[in-house]
Parts: sequence; structure tokens; C-alpha cells
Amino acid sequence: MIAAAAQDAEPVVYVIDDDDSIRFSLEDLLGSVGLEARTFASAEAFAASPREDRPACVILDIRMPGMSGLDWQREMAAGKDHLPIVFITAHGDVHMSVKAMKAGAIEFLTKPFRDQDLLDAIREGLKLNVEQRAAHAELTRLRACYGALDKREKQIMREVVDGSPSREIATALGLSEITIKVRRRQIMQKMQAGSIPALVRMAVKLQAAEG
Amino acid sequence: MGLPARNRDPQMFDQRLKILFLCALVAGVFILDTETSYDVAASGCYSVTVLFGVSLFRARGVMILACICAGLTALSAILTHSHEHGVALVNMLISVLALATATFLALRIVAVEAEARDAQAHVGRLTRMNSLGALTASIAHEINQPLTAILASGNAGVRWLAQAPPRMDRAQANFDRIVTEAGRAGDIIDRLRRLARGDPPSKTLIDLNAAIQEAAGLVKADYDRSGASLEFRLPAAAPVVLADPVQIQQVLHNLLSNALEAGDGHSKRRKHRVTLSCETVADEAVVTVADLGVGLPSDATEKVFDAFWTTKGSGIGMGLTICRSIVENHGGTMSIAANRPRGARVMFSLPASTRTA
Repeated sequence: MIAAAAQDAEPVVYVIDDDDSIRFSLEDLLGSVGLEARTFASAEAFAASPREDRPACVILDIRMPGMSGLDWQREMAAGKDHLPIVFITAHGDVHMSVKAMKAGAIEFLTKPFRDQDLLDAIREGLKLNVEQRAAHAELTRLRACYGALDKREKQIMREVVDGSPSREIATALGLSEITIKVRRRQIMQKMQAGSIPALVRMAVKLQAAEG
Repeated sequence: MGLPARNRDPQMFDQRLKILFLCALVAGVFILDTETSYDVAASGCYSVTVLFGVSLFRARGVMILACICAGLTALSAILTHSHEHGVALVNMLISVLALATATFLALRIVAVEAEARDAQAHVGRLTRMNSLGALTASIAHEINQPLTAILASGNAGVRWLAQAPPRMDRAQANFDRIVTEAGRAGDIIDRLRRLARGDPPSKTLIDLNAAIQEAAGLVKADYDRSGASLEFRLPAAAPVVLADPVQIQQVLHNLLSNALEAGDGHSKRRKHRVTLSCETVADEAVVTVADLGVGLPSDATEKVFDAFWTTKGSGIGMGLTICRSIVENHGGTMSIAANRPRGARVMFSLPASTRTA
């Protein structure tokens, strides 16, 4: 996973605020620390833009004309596209900040905020997104491997993961013990699992994703 | 009820007439007592003058009036052509007793009136604090935007300069933005200062179009937040009026806030819209604020201007009362009517000035 994170593409920060000067200054501030930013005047404009395949984090003004920041956060959490959000607001609204944080926001900053607070929050958001992406990539890979197993192999894998010895599996499926052992080796290869515990972990991940 | 009227001349005239009447009454009773031989029987009428004095004087004035009346009763009792001083004495005592009772009642009335006045002043203060609170919140929001931009730009500038080699061009762009944004913040403060109380009311020539735009600028954040739109129908040639700019701002701010609140129950699909128009009709400038909100009960078109009448859960019903008295003090009128297809429209007129702003 760490290797995957290191290999991931250059990160991008999406700035969504209806105030021109805030967008420009934040874009420049991010640029000064070597972070690329894309700016949008509304949540709708951002939603309509194509998403890039790179780690990302969103800086979002909680109160904007049109769709409010909180509405959008709810909508994004419901869909697949859940990017970490750092909320910024000109109103020190405690009730709103609690709602935003409960819904999984990284940070809730009141304007005007310290630049370091914003940058720290963004780094945290990007780190989280890199992890999310790595986990997602891992899951995609596992699914592909699992998809490559035939019906019988999937059956055997379930038994192996449940901890049944080869002899029992053979009896249960009406096959010879040798066949089971050969098939087990093939399963380990196809799943790229180095050991039985590794295979069990994979099965758990796959099951969790299905659930 | 409401604010004291600015045009005091008829009131002053009324006041003088009352004092004259009071003096005549006191003099009449005194002459009657002194010149007739009824043993100061008329002195009981002094109580009437004391009760009448309530409408003219405060507590001290009423007391002084009562003392004068008592003194005059005694004087009459001495000067009268009475044969039986005993009867005059009894009459005098009865009169003084009646006078004391009347004075006591009069002082109670004065105290109750003073309490009512205090309560009203308290309500006035509350209203000011309420609208000041709302104004402060909207101004805090307005100022926070440029302040945030300044802070972020300043930090960005420092970081660009700290790079090796320093990025002068990027730093320069940030300094430029800081200057612009500081100016924007300054403008907001300037507007606030002009709106703040403390300035004595002073009438100047106002360009109504500009005043409307300025008031709209102050409530813009609130409108944006509610997703309501504000439309203008302003004439190319701006009407000019002679008025107190702060008070006119107060009226516009109040009407725009009311219009926005009237749309509170709106569904997201049906957008709330407020139209602000201004036109010159004959020698008057007429400003109309029309909304598509909940509107008013049909019998409420006059009641809305009464003090303490409100449709809002949290309102205290002083906003339009104050607005109307401001407009009337400027020699104008204010009225409210149903809007088509729904909502309410508030109109106020001000005498147009022939001079230019």
C-alpha cells in the first residue's frame, strides 16, 4: 500500500468558493507550496467537470448560492466520488461545523484562517485520499484475480479460507485429495497470495467490499 | 404611539392653548370664590384643573399646580366677603382634601405614563439592537471575505519570496491583490461607518438609485444564502431627494430584509424573487419593494404600520412603524398592498428635489 502511495500521480486540490478573490488567493497560496489547484465558482460547476485520476482534496465554502456545501457533501457521500473535504466558512456556525465534521469532513476552518491550518488540513486530506485510492486499487486487483478463478476454484477457496484441511474438502466435493492440493496451488498463484493467512486476508477484504 | 412627530408646530399650538385654558380656569375659580359670597364653594373645581394638568406637566409640575390651587383656596377664604368664616373654613378644608385626592390620582397617572414611555424606549432600543445585530453579522461576513483573501495572499507572497531564487512576479501579483482586497474591506467599513448611529440626522441631496444599490449591497449576502434573487427596475435618470441618507438606508434595509423573510417558506424549486423599483411620478420619487412571499392577511394593510403588530415569530413589530415615521418625517408617505400573483408590495414616496445630487 505504501508502495502504491508513492507511485500515485501528482495530487490536485479543488477550490470551490463563490468569491473570486478567495479562489485566486487560495490557488496562489497552494501554488506557492507546490500544490496544483483547480478552482470552481459553484458546487454545480465542480460536479459538471470531468474528474481526473489523481489524489485530490476539496476546499469548499459551506455557504454558497445554489447547492450549499453541506448538501453537496451529502450528495458526494452517497455517490462513489467521495473526496476528502476541508470546509471554509465566513460564519463561525457551530451547529453547521458539527454537522460537517460528523459527515466526515477533514477540517472546518473559519475565515480568515491561518494558512498553515489550511495546508495541514489539505495534506491530511490528500494523505487520506491516497490511502483510499490505494485501497480501491487493491480491491480492483483482488476482484480481477478472484474473477479469474473458475467455479470449482472459488468453491475450494471458500473451504480453504474456512480452515478445512484438503482431505475434508476432497470428501465434501467428491474429488481426490491430490486434485484439491493441485487446485489449491493454482488458487494461490491466481490470487497472488504468498501464504494461507494472506489468502484469508484477501477473502475478508473481498467479502467486506461485497457487504 | 410610535416615534415623536417631527412637525411639532400644531402640537406646540395645542399645548399653548391648553395652558391658556388652564390659567383661565384657575383664575375663574379664584375670582368666583373671592368675589361671591358662597364661602369658597367653587374651590372644589381646582381638582379639575389638577387632573387637567396631567396632560400638560410631569410630576413636579402637577405638584406645583396643586400647591398653587391650595394657596389660592386659602387666599380666597381670607379675602371672600363671607359672614361665616367657619363655613368658609370647612369648605376650604373639603376643597383641599379633594385637591389632595386629585393630586394623588394625577401623580399616579403621570407615573403610569412615564412607565409606558420607558417601556416604549426599551422596545426601541431592542429594535435597534436587533437590526444592529443582523447588520453586524452581514458585515462580518462581508469583511471576512477580503480579509481571508489578504491573509492567504500575504502568506503566498511570503512563500514565493522565500523560494530560491525568489519568484518576484508571483509575489508582486499577491501584493497587488492585497492592496485591492484591503481597499474592498475599507469600502465596507466606510459603508458601516455611514450607517452607524451617532451622526446627527442631516438632510442632503441623495441619488435614490445609488442609495438603493448600496442598501442592496448590504443584504446581498443574505439573499445569496437563501437563494433569493433581487431585481432592479431603476430609471436611467436617477430621482434625487432631499433626505437623511442614514435613515433612508435604514428604511431600505428594513424593507429588503422583510421581503426576503417573506419568502422563508419557499420550496427550493420555486425561487423567491424580490423586485426593487424606483420611478418619478409627478413631483415625487416612488420606491417599491415587491416580493413573491407569503403576503399579508387582507385586513392587515393598515395594521402592519401599528407598533407591535407582526406576522413574524421572532419579530416585535416595530420595523415598519419606524420606517413609516421616517418616511413621513421626510414629507413622504408609505403604504402596503398585495402583490400579483402573490406576496406583498411596499411603496414609499419622497418629495423629489429639482436640484441634482
